[in-house]
Amino acid sequence: MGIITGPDRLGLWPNADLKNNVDNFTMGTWVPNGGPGGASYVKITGGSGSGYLGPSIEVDTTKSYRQVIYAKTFSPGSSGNNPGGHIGFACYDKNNNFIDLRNCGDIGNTTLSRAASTGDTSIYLTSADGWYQGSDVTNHTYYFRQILFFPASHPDYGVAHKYTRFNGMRYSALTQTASGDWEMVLENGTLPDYGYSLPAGTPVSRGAAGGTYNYALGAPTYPTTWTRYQTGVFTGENRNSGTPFRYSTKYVRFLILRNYNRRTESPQDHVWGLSRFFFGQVVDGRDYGTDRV
Amino acid sequence: MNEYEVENEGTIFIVTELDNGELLIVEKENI
Repeated sequence: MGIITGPDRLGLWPNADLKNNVDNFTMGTWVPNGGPGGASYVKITGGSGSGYLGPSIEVDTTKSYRQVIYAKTFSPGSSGNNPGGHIGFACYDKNNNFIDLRNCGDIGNTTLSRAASTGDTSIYLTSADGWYQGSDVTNHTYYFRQILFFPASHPDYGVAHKYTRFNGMRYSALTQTASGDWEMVLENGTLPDYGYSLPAGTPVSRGAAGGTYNYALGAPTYPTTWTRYQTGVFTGENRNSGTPFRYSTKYVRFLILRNYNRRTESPQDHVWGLSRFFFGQVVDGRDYGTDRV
Repeated sequence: MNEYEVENEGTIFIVTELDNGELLIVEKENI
């Protein structure tokens, strides 16, 4: 347990017991006191922008949550600039697979206008709204034109335009046919066997990359005094890189891009600290004020 | 590791292609 006071059902990051140095947040040196309110903290030098993912906790996305952390600059880099970088969380499905934005629907939501079969070189869509259109769309980077399938018979990916891992295909052209529907030419091979039928009417969305993680606490440059960062109280699922949770989230991990704001500076001699790593459920309106976290 | 900027539908992203092939992406506006 990282925080020993406050409401119950805290949903704390495991292995974050800074009080007893049951830390295992292996990104720096544990310091027993000197943090906010005399708390312990993790002291870090540099980081070069590298990502760090903490341990996993289970969440219930129908409940309400808040994330909190404290950060401080101990000394700026030789550049004279204070350190800083993105902080938040990463979402995982029930099988502990990372949920990328390219696993989430909501862009270009449409359906197959004709049945699709293994080995097809083209598929056909009812609508092209929200998709790049033309005989050659490869000027758009590949990770903005992936194809998401949501076969109705799949137990996990069958909810229309929400969550799927059938996202490996991308397209090179999308043009309207004489029948009025849209022919989509596959770019990276023929349609694979997904193991589930894809009849006309199967929901399809465009897979588009974006902020890799949920940078729920933003990308602050850390002041020279301990500063609290917190999300609003959030609940539910959608396609986002902030809050709430992404579609089909079952677990989350603490996430930081260490000193990302100064990643190009050398040497990486910025010294900074993090304390009170917290991610908790807001139950019955009991929140986490500064007297508790 | 390779870092570059890419624009998509009005948003500029900073993309880092990591050595393992994964993408680390942030919105430039967040910097």
